Amino acid sequence: MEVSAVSHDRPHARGPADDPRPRVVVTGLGVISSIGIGRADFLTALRAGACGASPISGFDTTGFRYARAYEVPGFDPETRLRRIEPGRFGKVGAQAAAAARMAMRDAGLDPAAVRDEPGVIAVGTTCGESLDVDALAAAEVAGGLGRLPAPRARRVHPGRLPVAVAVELGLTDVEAVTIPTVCAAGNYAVGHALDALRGGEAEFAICGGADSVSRMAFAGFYRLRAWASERCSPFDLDRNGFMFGEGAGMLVLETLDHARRRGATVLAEVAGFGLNCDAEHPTRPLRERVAECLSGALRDAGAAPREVDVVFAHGTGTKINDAMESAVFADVFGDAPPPVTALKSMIGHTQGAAGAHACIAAVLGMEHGFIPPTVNFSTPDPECPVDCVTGASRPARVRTAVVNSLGVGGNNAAVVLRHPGALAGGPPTGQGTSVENEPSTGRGTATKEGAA
Amino acid sequence: MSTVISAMALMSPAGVGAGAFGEAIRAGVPLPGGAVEDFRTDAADPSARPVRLVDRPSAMALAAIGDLLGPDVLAGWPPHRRALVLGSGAAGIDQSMTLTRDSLTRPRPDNVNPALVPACVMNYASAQAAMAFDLRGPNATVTAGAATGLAALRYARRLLASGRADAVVCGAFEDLNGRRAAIAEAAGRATRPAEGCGVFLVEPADRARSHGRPVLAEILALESRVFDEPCHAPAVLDAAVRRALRTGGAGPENVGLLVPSGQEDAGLRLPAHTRVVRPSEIVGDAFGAAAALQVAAAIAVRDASRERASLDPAGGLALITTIDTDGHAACCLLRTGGRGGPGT
Repeated sequence: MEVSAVSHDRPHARGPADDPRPRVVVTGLGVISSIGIGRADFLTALRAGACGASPISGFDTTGFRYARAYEVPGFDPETRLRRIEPGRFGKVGAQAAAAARMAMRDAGLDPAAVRDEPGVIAVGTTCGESLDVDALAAAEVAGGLGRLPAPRARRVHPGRLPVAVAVELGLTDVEAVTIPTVCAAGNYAVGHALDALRGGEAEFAICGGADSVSRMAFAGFYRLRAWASERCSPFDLDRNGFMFGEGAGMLVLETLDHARRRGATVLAEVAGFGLNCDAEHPTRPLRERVAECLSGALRDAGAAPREVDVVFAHGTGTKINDAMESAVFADVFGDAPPPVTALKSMIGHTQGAAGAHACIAAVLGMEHGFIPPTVNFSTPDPECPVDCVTGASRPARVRTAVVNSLGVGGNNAAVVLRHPGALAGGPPTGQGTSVENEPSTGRGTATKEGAA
Repeated sequence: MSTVISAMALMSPAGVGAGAFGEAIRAGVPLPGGAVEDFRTDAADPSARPVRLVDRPSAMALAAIGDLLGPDVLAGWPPHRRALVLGSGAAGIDQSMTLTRDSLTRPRPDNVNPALVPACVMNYASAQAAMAFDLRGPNATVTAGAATGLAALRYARRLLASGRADAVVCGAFEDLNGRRAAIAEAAGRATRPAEGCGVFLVEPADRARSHGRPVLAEILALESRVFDEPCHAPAVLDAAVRRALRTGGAGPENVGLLVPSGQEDAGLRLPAHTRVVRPSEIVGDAFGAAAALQVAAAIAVRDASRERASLDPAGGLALITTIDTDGHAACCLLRTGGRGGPGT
């Protein structure tokens, strides 16, 4: 296939050295997932190759032949909130707010210190407050539309998710938007924040995504035979579908100047972003357009394909997606493709949070010198000829990472992250061909995260 | 870079089309009902792919975008440089509740309509529009309750500023359905629910001129903020308006037209001569489509002023404000004063 992507015109296709736009960096991570809550737990689970699939506990699954998901059982995000009173927001909003609270603490950024600065809050989601939607439907069945419970009705709209974040952090002067571009939404939120900061409209942003696991989504995708029966097994010959996961991933982004002014530890640079649309088929992704999106993100970052040290694949575990994505990686990276991994094997398809979760995992891999594994893998698939990191995490010197994501409907979005070592000035160092165990930068992750 | 609105297409309880809406706004008489009575979705084609579904909200959006994008607009516009930003406040909730209801009430919990699944999420209309009009560039869905239309404009302007697209099809839609009305009532929102859709072509002023399109409005400023308690909303909105005016290089005295979402202008210190138009009192509460219809109202009112050669000497600025009860306060400052746009 011709990769027409690389020839597309783009006004900002310059290297970082001669790009006048502000550089944008990641300074804080907040994560809620089935394998870990908070940076330290998530990191431990990523390294260990944990799998968070378990029997669904959030709703009654009587009558389904199988019913597993990557939930976060027993975790109430409201216990992590300080300002939001219980019940005011749904569980998904509470998760977004709790993850944002963690990310700000991780960034060492007191919300009060930026209260008078314009900021951006962007939350991606697929199903919004899906548990409240389910509850309203159950109430309709029980008593009709005239007897819907007021608390659920008040908090059901997805536009509330970034409001929950703002209220929890006491921020007012923030551009708050929900981006419900389904399963690519987490990357969309990061890219939206990147463009806002590059454009000078803000100097800090809190961005990512949140979702839960609802009866609506489970029944629908079970019916479509897209929901895996036991676990999600991306790139495996016997993979049989995706499995939704619950959680939130939020990142604090700042312009490099803003981060340096306050002496923050820079975790990574958000070097580039690309987004486009298949405009072709409602559910079957189009290889050519996905490749164009990925190439566009690399151009935006001023990064050559050979510089990429790891690709966090969308990796849903469906037959079609993984084979298509494997072909795309060959198209974009040629005969020396970087290692690939699929986080969904560990945390499930966290939908609107998936891209954000993968960005967080990529940043942690950069910081600690490893590539998280694709678990649940046993048999290679000739249709997926990729160097998939399986079984255990792989030590690696990660200087440039790409996070790929796709949303049903043909929405593609890719984020390019760079190691902060490339920020000193001049062209990025480290072409990423050597594999070595790079020690941690010395950031005290365990103590910093504390009880967050 | 000057960003302008150079075309628009609408549907509202006044009917399909910008003309009917403009007449209703200028007449100022509340419209009964709340549905777009003359818009009918076609019956689903039984031979169509099972994943395709003609649901009313996305059908409304698609029809309006079809009106907006004549062949002349798409000609010479490379598909990968065509962006779409579309939003609604509640799309997908009605469909999701149907699916959950069916799962709860049918003999088997998986006996649900698979065709309904893609319409349960909010990007369904955006994806359908991309396929219908070969929009291969950035394709984003946004939601911010009643402020969705302004959030979409801001996203669109940012896409242009970052060079990710040549122009953007941008708008918001909301359909009227029993569940939406019941949710609003249960939540204690006393509204007269309505439906509607407003879509705009957003592009750099130079591009509009070179294609022979009129500048309907120049976007001078877009601001949004969040308030915690409803009692804080007026002050938060006021701060947003002040910054918008500063960004636009204008003062309150330059605002000739104010288009609020409700009664929030009581807290804004605008001069007495400012004309106030309240679309929600005429068409009802179009929720996610409301702010897009407010922008359309500003354009419609200014168009009429021009026809009567009674341009406001104050400078031709229009201010759109919106308060969403979920916590969004936003505003937009437009220059609607001249056929050729600013500087002409």
